[in-house]
Amino acid sequence: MKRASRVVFSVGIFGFVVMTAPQQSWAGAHTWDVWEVFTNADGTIQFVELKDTSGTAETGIGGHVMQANPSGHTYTLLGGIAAPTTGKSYLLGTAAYAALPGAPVPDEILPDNFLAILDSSCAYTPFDTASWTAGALPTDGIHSLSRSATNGPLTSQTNSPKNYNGDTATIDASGGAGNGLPGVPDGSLRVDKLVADGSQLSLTWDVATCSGELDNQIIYGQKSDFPAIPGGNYALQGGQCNIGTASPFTWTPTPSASDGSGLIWFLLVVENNANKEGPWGKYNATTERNGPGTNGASNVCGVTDRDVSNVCGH
Amino acid sequence: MILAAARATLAAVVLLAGSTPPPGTGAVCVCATARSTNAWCPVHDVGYVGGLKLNSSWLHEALDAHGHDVVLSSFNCPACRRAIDGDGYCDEHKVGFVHGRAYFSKLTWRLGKAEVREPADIACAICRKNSETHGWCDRDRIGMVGPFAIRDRAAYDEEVHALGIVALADHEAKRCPYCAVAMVTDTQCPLCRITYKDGKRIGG
Repeated sequence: MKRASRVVFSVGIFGFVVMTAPQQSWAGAHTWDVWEVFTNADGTIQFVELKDTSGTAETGIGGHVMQANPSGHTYTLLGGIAAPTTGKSYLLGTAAYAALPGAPVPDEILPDNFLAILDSSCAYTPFDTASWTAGALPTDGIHSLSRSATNGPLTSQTNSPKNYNGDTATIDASGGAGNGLPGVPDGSLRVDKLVADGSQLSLTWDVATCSGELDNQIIYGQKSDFPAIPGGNYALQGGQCNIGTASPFTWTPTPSASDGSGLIWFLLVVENNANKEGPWGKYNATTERNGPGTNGASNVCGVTDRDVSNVCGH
Repeated sequence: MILAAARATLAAVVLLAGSTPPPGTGAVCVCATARSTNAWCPVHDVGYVGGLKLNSSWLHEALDAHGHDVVLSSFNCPACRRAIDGDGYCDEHKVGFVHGRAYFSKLTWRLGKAEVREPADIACAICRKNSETHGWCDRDRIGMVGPFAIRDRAAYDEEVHALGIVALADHEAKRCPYCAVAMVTDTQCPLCRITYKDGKRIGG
């Protein structure tokens, strides 16, 4: 009886120990890399994106110091994320970045000018450092330096901030730099028929002359949409939206006129994914062509405004 | 019989006392296993790596001496692929693998490859004594760093050297925990701007 009760007691202790064994807090924070860095010209609009390139539960980023060099600017991460971290991004952005319409909400707010224009590295200490040639950090408000692969080099690409929630977008901070949206350079657009009836066209244009080309769209109308008087507004039938920035672009199928004219005209214009488009070009060498929307915007492809302040390309 | 029962009861009381968290913290003492699992005890605010007792939680966290579950397909470098296949280490990317789990320093990777041997289970008196700190047993050709048995002499020597730096870093952590981490990662302290290599200051 005595022996039996001791056995029960021992099992009870064993059970207690097993039940109270703690969950190890194997947080870890090693697998995050500095993935993308961005600044505008005056350093007020900046973001740094970290990415967990291989981990699954690397939630311990809080307390780690971000450091830009050679400026030596530092920022200590707050962290506080929950697993899984697999393939996720963590976004640090300045207050002015956070205020941009359509910008993914930053997970933490960076101080302005965390990245100095002549910095050549950004470290997530002590585990990863992203390096670039001093002076190579774009400041046009459109491009960033970003990796394309784990441990890959940083190259200039159209910015694409992404937060821990997975929200991503391309921001336009070119206004902050006073650049505006460029035009597609005059005379550079070449059109080739890929089929005899013109239902498939290849468009080639100059993508090198102007920086800040974020995205393009084709806007089109028919003969009856031309302005009734010189300098009047163009009407539009529609648009081929978000065709990107790669030239050439194959446009298929092309639209047909409904006014019996058999004539379709079109323009290739830059847009910024924030409902704004760039210049259409000038119809008489002095006067900008205008659409029916705000500041002469086309009002197609979701565009609601236009910025013609950038004279590059026309 | 009564004495035996009393000893069992006392052992139970001691065990329970060790597992009791301080009021309000919710933390549980893991000291009983921390030395062999490289864990941190939140109750007593100490941790272990390679049998070495650490006082700096930040250093302990940065060493992160455990196998990490990772997406193995995300490692594209040929040396990393070879390391994954052969429980090896990629010097370029400072990551080693044991049974498909990742270790982010050679120090922790060697611990991951080592055999954990509790002192009570070690028959050899020399090895058992070595497991209290560290030491090499010529008879068994086994090096012990705490409860971790390493059979390769060169690996053992490297581990002892690395743990020596960790010990220095833990001391330095009282001044600056970020310097402590820089010491064990051969990097620069982001706050003091001191650069370390092999545990020694080389700049800043």
